[in-house]
Amino acid sequence: MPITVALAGNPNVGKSSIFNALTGSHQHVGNWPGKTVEKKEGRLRLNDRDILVVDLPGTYSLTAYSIEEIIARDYILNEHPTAVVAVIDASNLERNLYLVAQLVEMQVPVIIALNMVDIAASRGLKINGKRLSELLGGVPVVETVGNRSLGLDRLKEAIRQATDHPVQPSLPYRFRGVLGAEMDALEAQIRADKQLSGEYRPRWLAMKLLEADSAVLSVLELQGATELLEAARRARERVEAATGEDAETLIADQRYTFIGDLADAVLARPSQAVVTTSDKIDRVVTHRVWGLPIFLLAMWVVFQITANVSAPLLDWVDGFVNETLYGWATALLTAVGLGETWLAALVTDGVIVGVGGVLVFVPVLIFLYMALAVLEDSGYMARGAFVMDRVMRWMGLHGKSFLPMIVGFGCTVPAVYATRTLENERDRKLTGFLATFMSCGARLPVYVLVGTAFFGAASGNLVFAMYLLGIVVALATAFAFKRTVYKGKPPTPFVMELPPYRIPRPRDVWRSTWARTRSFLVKAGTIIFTVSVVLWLLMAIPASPGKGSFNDVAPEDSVFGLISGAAAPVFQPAGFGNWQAAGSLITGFLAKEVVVATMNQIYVGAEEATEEGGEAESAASFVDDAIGSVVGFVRALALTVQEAINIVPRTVNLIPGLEVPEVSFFGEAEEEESLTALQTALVASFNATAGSAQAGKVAAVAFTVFVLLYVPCMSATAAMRHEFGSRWMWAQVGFTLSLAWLAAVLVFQVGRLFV
Amino acid sequence: MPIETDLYPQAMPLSLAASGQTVTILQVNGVGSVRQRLFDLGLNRGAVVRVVQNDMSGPMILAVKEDGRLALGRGMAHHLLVMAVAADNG
Repeated sequence: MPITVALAGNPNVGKSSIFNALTGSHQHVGNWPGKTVEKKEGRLRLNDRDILVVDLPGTYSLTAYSIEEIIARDYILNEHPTAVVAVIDASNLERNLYLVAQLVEMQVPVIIALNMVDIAASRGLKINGKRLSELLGGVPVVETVGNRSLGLDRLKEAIRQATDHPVQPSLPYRFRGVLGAEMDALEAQIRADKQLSGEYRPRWLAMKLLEADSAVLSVLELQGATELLEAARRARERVEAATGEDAETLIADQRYTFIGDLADAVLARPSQAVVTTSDKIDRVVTHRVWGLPIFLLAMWVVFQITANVSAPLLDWVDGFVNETLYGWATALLTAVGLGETWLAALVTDGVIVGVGGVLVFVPVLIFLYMALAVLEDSGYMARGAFVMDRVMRWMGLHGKSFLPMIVGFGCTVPAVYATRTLENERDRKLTGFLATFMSCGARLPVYVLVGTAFFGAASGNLVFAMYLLGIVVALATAFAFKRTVYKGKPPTPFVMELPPYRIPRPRDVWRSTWARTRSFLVKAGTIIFTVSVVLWLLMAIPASPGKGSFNDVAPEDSVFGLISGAAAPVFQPAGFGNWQAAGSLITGFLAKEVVVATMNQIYVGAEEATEEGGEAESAASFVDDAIGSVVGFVRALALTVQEAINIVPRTVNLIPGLEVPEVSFFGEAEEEESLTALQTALVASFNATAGSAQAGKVAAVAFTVFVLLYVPCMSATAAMRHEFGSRWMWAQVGFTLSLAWLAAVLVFQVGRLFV
Repeated sequence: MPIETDLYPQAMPLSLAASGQTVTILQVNGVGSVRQRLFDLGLNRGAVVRVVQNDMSGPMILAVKEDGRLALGRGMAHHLLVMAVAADNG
């Protein structure tokens, strides 16, 4: 069996810094089986040994309160790690010792990493680690400062010793009175049962039975241990009759008495309580009046980072894959005599475009994850949630739900991943669900195209209305969920540690950023890639023999055209029941901005819309392309810096009356795509389907409403599946499709009455 | 079990304690899992808690066991019956 060491600890005690410092770059981020809780594993080489380090979810306790706690506890109970490192916040010793006490009660070999001793020292707290170790029955205690990699050698040495000679700690305290007697009796009964005592530590099980731990009770019920359960129930009654208190309270009381005594013995406090810097910052940041504007400002900056700062690199990736790489592949395939064949088209239009669809999200995600890591590591995230909680609560949401919603205006994919900052699975799923209704950047071009085509100068109103409608739908959905699916399940009570403020360490920020981005590439990437190839196939296969051949077929004659045509009548009640609109909605599933590209291809004609770059490419231009790509990359980096700087003027310009110019490194170079031909064709087509010019306008609005509300895109769907599982993904697909259809029909049918 | 309020005339829910007040917890109410949660967070009977911030709406900030800062929703705070031990409204 491999040597495993698990890291346990409260949230925000610097556990990830310790994990990073122990495992370096040998990390793997995934999910716990069947759960949406992040699982981090890494390898630690100690001398000649290979140790698997598992980062357990951050928990305050090991009761069965949350999924995270159940995961952590089950891991320790079932996987029997060789040792558990309890990472505890030295500046908040007493609270953190609660978890340590529970680990000791489970009788697993424990190592205590007394982390953040620097902060404790700055508050004048002195902890006697040696005494702590003695009082806990010889558990090794190591002082560390994880984010500065201090004390790690000693921690590694402690791990080495623990894995060499695992010591099973004995319980350093006994329970007194009736409680203790009942616990002893139950323990004896469990010991007598061979099967149970093989599976559980009898002492621990006896304690859990008296605590009436719901998870333990239901497992025992499944195992048919009715006799024991009955004995436990009677024991709890006897305790209550004798003391007037329930066993659960008594256990907590005695445990805390022990912890309180322990803390008194090892912890020396300054005579005068220090007003910490954290408290001073909090006076402003969590202020009743100032808290909200400060938080909104922070969110604005995050939004700017994900939407604008990432844009130059996104454009570069897009250009590099879809033009340069596309051109190279075409040239290469032509050179080996495969040009213009279906194989060439599969590689370029299927595979490369598919890869591009995945890669364009990488810059966005990197910037989002960096922003999130800074917010989390600095300690601000908890304050933001605190400030927003009172606002979000009336919608049945949690304070932390706000951030994913904001990110959703940039892109739904990072919004789904941003829900990871929520601790509770149910809150996470609901938030991810609602974030899809925020108008992401890819939906904007569709609004603009339809808006200018049908409403000319007034298109801004349509765009604004769509953004507003998205928010309204999200609120309404939250309300509906609160009354139906989540009825009787109030949002998780708001309880959150406010960790002391810290300056995030760039290395930790980058580690978490990269680990999460890589996880997206692997998991969501596979799905996006597959769907792209399948869609290409559908567009390449003719629907019936007489109408073109494989890879040489007009869009309306392909299987894709057939499907679009079949889907079209569904949209008749919404006023846009033609195959072109249906078809562009189907490709819009790839990415919503593709709706415009598809319409362009269908309405204006394929010959104009095909890539200008690819065809005439020759091998000679390879070097030029390579140089061009490098230059383009450097330019994109410069633009990234420019956009980062521009956050300042953009923010200042929010104040009416102020006008600070934005930085521009390369002068204005707005590329304007001419869409007049498309717009004319679009108006004509919609008017014809809807019946009149007035009805056409209403149908256009209905169409944009549909685009706003239906399945965000394949990448977001893949992200949902990655985060929340297939069932939730399908629920989301079904819900958004029905909702979009209903809303579009409603808009068209009601709107028609007024024109 | 109900607390004997004659003995503790100053008993009040934690949600009503003012900013700056230091209180001691007399009783932890609520159903099993909520109560267990409060225990886990160090809010057990007898614990001394300083109210760092209470705006009388939205969650409050507490200093639990003197060191950690804990944000606690009002719903949870209603479950704690406390009594002031000292006040330093500074």
